[in-house]
Amino acid sequence: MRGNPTSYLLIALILVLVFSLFGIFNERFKELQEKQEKLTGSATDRTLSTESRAAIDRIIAISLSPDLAGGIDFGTITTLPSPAASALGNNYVTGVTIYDIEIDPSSTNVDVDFCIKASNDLDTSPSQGTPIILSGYRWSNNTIGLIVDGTNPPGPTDALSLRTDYEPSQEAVSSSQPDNVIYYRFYLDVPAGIRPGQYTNTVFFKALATDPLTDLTPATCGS
Amino acid sequence: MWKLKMKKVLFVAIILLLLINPVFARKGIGMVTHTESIVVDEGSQKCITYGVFNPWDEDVRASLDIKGDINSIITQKETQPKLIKALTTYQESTELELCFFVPQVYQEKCILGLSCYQPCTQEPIEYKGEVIVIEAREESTSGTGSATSLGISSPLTVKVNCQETERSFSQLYFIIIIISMLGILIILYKRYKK
Repeated sequence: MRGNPTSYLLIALILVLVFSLFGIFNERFKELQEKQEKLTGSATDRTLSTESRAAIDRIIAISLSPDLAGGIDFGTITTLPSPAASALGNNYVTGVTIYDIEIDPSSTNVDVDFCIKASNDLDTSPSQGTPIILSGYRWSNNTIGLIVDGTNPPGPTDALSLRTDYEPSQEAVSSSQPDNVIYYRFYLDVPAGIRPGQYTNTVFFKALATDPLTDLTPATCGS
Repeated sequence: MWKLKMKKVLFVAIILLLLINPVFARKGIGMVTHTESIVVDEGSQKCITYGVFNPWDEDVRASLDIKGDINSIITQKETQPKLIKALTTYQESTELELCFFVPQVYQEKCILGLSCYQPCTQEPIEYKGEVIVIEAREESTSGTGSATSLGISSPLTVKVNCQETERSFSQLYFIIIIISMLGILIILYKRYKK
């Protein structure tokens, strides 16, 4: 056996085998120990504690006024061009708008930010090629001008153009009465030369809870 | 005679109220958000629910819409509008479920594909987005104008939990054992053959 290289190789392989078997045993022992510690906790961990937790759900309930839910209607426009055509509900009864969004005070436990956007330009179906562009479709509400409620008419010059991305329309609206209602008005510039037809799109209103940390910055309306 | 007149007036008033009320009935929705952030283990599924209710006078239909990164890990959501009964309070909410499956996102460190471990040194991976309860509506205007849509949005962050593991040499030891046993057997076989 002495001087035979295969003998040295055999001894080396046996040593490697023993070492590896010991290694595997050691790994398994460590794993078992870890499992045991997870089950019972560390031997040095003698402090007993418990966590108190109270989760409060975030609740928001909003509704559109029946006329706003039914759609923003500009009726039949007969005179062209028609700058700042007023939606039919803007001044339904001498200066009172009937377009509003209401937060239900009994079912809402946060302040609410509101966002607004439109789907696209107003167009006929099928399209006749020349839509009424969105920059001429404008909205205003309590926050614009000096409007404090539904009876003070916001002028079209104060109104802002609708966009296809959400933008804040009113922030940190309280759910307490009487501040829980937002009044809207809508205006549409219909240019000369527009072809006859029914021009439509969709206006989206989105409500989200006001983040108390960011209530001084514009609301994050998303897309 | 006076009483009969009053009864008639009352009857007409009740009929008028019943007729007029539906015209002025408000329609809307309510949303109950139980959580805005959840922690999910890699390779596991987790579901959360959102409550939808309707404290107003008319039944509405509502569905969930999801925006943002979280769309890529969603496995189940209520896409079909669900009927939400009128005059329901938030305690009587209809629960709409949203489920996520988070794939393996953290890279393990290995030696030749063996003895891997999870160090968890990188920034936690998050999927962000928003869940919107939308009141489904089919009305449109009769003239030029816009249909309207109402939604309530709630942000949602899905954090992927990184489960830190230590390097295990078991597989490596196992391969070394097999190789050394094979070597020993070959040497012994050759020796006995001689």
